[in-house]
Amino acid sequence: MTARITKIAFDALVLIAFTYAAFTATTFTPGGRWLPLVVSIAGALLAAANIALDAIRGFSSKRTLSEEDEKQEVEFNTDVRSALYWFGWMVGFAVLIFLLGFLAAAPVWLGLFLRINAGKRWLFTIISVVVLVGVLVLIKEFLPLEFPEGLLFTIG
Amino acid sequence: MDLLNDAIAAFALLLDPSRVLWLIGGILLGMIVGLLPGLGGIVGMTLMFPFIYGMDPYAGVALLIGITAVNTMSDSFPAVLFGIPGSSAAAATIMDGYPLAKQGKGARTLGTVFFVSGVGGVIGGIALFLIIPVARPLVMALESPELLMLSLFGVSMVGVLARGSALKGITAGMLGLLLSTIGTSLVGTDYRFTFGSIYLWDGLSISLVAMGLFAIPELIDMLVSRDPDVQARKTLVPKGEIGRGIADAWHHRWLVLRSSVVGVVLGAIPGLGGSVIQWILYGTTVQFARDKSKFGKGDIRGVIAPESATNSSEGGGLIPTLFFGIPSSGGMAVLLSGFYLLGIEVGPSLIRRPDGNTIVLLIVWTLVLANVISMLLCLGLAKYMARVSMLPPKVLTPFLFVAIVLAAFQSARDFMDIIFLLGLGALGWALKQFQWSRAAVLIGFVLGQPVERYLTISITRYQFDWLMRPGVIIIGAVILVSIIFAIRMKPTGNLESRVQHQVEEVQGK
Repeated sequence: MTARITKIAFDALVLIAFTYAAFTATTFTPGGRWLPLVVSIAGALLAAANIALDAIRGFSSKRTLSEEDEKQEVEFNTDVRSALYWFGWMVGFAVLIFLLGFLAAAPVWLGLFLRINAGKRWLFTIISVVVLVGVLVLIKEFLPLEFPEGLLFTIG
Repeated sequence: MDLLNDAIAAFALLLDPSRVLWLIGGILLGMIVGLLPGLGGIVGMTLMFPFIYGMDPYAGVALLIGITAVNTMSDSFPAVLFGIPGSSAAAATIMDGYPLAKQGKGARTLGTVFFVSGVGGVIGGIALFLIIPVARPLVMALESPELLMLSLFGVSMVGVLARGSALKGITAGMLGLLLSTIGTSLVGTDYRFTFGSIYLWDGLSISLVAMGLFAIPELIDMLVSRDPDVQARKTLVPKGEIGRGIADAWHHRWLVLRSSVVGVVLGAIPGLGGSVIQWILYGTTVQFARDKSKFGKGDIRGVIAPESATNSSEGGGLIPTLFFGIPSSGGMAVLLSGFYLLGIEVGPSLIRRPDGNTIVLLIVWTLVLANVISMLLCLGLAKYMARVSMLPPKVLTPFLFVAIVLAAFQSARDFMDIIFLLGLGALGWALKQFQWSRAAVLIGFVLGQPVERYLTISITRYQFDWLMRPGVIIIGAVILVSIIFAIRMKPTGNLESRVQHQVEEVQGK
């Protein structure tokens, strides 16, 4: 999928979101309806105009696509792939928290990240994990913060 | 005379040792997030939200202003030394700052940067002080319909002036307003867009939205990007050159003053923000300079103008934020939300409070003091700051992500906080890639509640007659004209490339 089509697809998603919101807003009581209804109708109209403009620009530039633009499209796709990889790591952390709880998930995830992605040696990784656990224990002890608990077991 | 007495009272309040400590704490945190390319004051402030809830309001103000003030100073560090801006508000500094560093003048340039940034910040604080007697009666005269229109003006201006197309900017503002309507309605008994989830009854928290839209996309982009230039790291040893940098700034003192004043004025316009202001200043400095031959190759004037203006614009940005409750940028939107968490309601409510003047003056003093302390700390700690900015992203980001997740979880202390953080992060990343203004979404989100409140009061009190009030008609006309004007004009996003092109032309001559 090229950058141009992805761009229009994103604009279309925004349009769908506003349109859905407009229909849903009509079901609210008069007092709570005003702002969401006005905003979603205006948003839907603007999003539709965006799609039209993007499509027109895309069509008119298609015949004159320069080498630089083509290069940018390839780069855009590459970025998406690696961005998805890193986002996957973030989702992985959330899954670990859900299963193990924050206090256990954070050192496990950090250790794996430093070893696999940063290519750090065991010593650096272990010191980092120990420092993180130390800081987290201090936070839990002295600050009014709560840690997410895990499904399987809870530490702390 | 009253103002002077209030100023003395406010200064005494700030000098409480615990508040000064919080101010220094904020400065240190702001310094670190400013040093890390991509992250900025928004992330720094939202990370602190779980801690400031229920805190002494004045200490909280000191912490937040400390983060904001230093951030626009320390973000220039990686810009000068590595050619990577610490935040978008330091991008123009690269144009001449990085070439100067490559000539072995990195430390000298940093001396200039920190000095002019500090001076610019102090000038911003003075401007905020001077505007109080003028703004107060104006704010007192406004009622709900005018405030509603001013809030809409804020959203539209941010959209119009945001990078990329004006149409997308305004749509982004609408998206923010729509996000703000999630949850129980202010009037009536509706649970809006909650999809049957009890979690959404209270709506989305500002810290989740800010971290999702700004922190997560920046972390992803930090990981995707390359490490800073290894060669450049070896050439940075700031030794004894800082003083010469300050002397350079003094030599161009009128440029510092002029740029700072322009920065204040531009900063007060909702939507411009530091990232646009610095390019405007850089462009005009090149245009009006007699000798243009060194711009782009390492001319200190190309560093002084944007740096002075970016810091003074923070003072300017506080004018609409404090007096009208309209945040002038994404950073100001988060600052405003922080004030709400501290129990400080800005806008006319603040001005009408008996201690309103004292609070505004406390903010003025904090801004001035924060800039002076930040300047001294940056000048003194330059060597150590270089080490922080040398840390590779793949080592830094996992620590930051753990901190962000922990801070996000404090929003409702529910696992859904983490899911929404990631969901909003994905949305933020997509918005960034497709050049939709995330600042406009955030400002729309922050202004959503006041807009609905003012709209409800206006309709309840005046039915639809409020639409015919002169103030409403005038502000409405300004909104319309600015939108039409912006759509017909070239998008602001071209400013950066236009200035760069201008410099290339100068070099070609």
